[in-house]
Amino acid sequence: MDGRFLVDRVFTVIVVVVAIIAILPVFHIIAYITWRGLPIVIDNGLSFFTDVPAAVVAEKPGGIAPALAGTAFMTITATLIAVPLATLAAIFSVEYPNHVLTKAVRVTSRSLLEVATILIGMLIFVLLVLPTGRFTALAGSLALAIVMIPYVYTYAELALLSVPKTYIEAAYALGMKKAQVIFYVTVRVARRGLARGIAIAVTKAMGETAPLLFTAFGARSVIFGGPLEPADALPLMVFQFIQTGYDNWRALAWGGAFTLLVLYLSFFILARLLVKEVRY
Amino acid sequence: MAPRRPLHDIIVFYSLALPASLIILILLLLLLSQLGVAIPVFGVQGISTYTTAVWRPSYDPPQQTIIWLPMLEPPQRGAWYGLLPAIWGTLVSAITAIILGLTFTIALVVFMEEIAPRRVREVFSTIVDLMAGLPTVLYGVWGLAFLGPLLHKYVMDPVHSYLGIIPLFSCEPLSGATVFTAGVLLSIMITPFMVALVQESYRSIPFTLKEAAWSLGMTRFEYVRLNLSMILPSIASAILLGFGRASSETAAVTLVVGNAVNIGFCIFAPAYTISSLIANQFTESQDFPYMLNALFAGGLILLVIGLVVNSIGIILLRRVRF
Amino acid sequence: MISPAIEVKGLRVRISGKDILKGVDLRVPEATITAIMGPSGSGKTTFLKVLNRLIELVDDVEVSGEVRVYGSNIFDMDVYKVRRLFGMVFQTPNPFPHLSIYDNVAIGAKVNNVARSRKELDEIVRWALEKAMLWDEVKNRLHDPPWRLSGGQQQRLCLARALAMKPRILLLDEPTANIDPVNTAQLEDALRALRRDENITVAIVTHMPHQAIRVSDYIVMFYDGRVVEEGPTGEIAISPREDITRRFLRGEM
Repeated sequence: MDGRFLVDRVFTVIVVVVAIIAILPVFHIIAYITWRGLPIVIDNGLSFFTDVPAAVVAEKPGGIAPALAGTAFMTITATLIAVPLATLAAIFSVEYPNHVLTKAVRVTSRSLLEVATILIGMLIFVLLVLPTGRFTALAGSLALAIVMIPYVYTYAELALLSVPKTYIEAAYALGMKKAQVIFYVTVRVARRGLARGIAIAVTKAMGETAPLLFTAFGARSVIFGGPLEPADALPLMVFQFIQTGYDNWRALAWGGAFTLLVLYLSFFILARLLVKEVRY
Repeated sequence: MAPRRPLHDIIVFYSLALPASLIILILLLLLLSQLGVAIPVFGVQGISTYTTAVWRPSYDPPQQTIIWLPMLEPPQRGAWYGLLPAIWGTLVSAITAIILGLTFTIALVVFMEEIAPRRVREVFSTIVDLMAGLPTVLYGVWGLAFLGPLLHKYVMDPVHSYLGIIPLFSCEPLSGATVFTAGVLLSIMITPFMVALVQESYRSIPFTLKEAAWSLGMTRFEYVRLNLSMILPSIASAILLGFGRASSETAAVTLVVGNAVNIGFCIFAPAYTISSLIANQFTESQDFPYMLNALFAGGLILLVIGLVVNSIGIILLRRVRF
Repeated sequence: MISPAIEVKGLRVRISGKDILKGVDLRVPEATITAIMGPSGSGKTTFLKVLNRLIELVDDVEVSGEVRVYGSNIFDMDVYKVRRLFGMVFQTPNPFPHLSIYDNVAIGAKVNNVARSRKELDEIVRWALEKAMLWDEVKNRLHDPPWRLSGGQQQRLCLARALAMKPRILLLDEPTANIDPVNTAQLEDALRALRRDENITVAIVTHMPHQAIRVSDYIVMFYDGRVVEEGPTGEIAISPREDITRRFLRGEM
């Protein structure tokens, strides 16, 4: 009898310790990136956000404006592409749950969630960059849109399915046509769930590096060259500059990492506030 | 009788079916692009692309070999793009990640479901969500600047000096950037994802079964072991899907894995994974004949891993039914 | 006999292979209140949902037979035109949660193009709320969300929403099942006034015999997917022909 309870004690202690070890890194990551990045942001002040990166030998590191502009442009355009596409597809799945296309979209969406995002970059490279012969911000947008689609779709489907059927019945009983029921009632009632999915997808897109490597490519001499020019992005800049041997560029990488962290945390909190109950 | 469908409904159907089909098209294009660009390299290197460990970029194209004959040594002259080291690196880092990640996952699920009070559980659950979405490049810079050196000094060096005779630890760690570091970093990154899968199954165990277990006078350890055994398929599924995540991660891994064409049993050596190989070599690859195609042959492996692991994982998840 | 608003012949409904309605023949006279009563599971709700073809939202449903509304077979008509003939109130109050009280009423009028101007819309909303006997309670908070109202008020809001589409027939599916006696009485008063002042035909499903007797001119008794008895309320309430009806009226089912 004693042996059993001893095993139980030891087991409980191990579980608690391992569980704590498992979540410690995220605190350390936040603290560490703040410790390395915040001083750089403070040292350079506002110009950190408005300047282009300085030369590697310059006295000051310059700023991350191209990365911010690129991330803003590509995230917004990707959202504009992914949200309607994925939401309409989710509406299809909810409206025609037994249709073969619905099953296909569900499987596809799950697969896209699991597929390496670098492959998405390679796809856009083949489809867009190779034929046009140039890296463009728009190619980056498209790659990020594909990253976002399965997230938007999954959360949209959940949100739409959770709309009580009685509202939909009431809408049809009022003589609304299908499109009116969808856009005046179903989508409106599910709006918080939809918004949460979009927030989560935006967070993903904002933090993605791999799909941009061969699409947007990075550009640091101007803040934003236009949709048909190469563009920088925050994670891309951090990824590339942290690997260089130049102090100035590494400083920008740390400052950029801190900025990305703050952006991520803000969107994370936003998504939390939108709806609490829906998970994965 | 089947009432006629109004024109309006038909229009709505097609305007929704179009975006739905587009999403399916994306996946098809993904498969076609990987396959289409990869095929030429198979035309010269054949399946030896996957069985050789030599990465030798050159303007001289690879010498044609017998396509269906897997070789271990490539021809002496000309370019050669063997993916075996990257495949090996991917496997080793992902398996390391799974071993550690599964430990973390089980501990977190048991802690949150059986030990922690409600408030603590909610805090943990928020933290797990926070970990799940954290941009991977942030894990990467932390791994590069902190975790790698830490593991180098406090784990790899001591383990190597005391257990160096074991092949796994036989090579002297030269820096923190090793396949082992990549595995540890990945384990942290995939944990929240695996927790979500296992926790959902754990919660689906009916209360009556749990009551029955307690009524038999089980200790918490015995009770948890019983519960976990009831959801084994979902744990297997979490392992598979976690493996998929770990093998497909790019940014973080590239920063910590060391990026060297290296194959061996020692986990304290720098290596390549498929994704980090692609990330590192892609830009130069367009200058050398067949190199880009070889990288797509690597991408094809990743895609197949992703699709297969995902399908099996989902089938397994469905087997947990109460 | 007054000319029928609804005429049903040989109506059968199968849902997922199960017979719900097994051949219903029925006439609902115009400008009257017809109570459709019967124990739960007898097919009352299904019958109601066939009338405005809401039944088609259900998966795997087969409908056969004939339903004529003012002479036209509803299965030959555009489904949306059919639904516009009817206003419907459901068992559980279901005002749209994302719309204000005003908009909940207005939306029915809007989608049916009942109002030609903002002013006309205001008038229709007021008219509908008055007819639903809710106007006095909400006139000062028309832009509140509906969930601030009590359950009974919400149900009257749903009645107003249905009225604002200016239907010729009103379908009610156990509208008072989830609300208290005071609100029930108000809703019943509203129905009687509608029949009297607006000549609206009402079909109300109820499993409460007393309600059927209180509000209706005609009673239809459903049992196991069939109509077992129908006739003027006075006759049926006093001397039902069928044993099933008698037992139901005595509250034994």
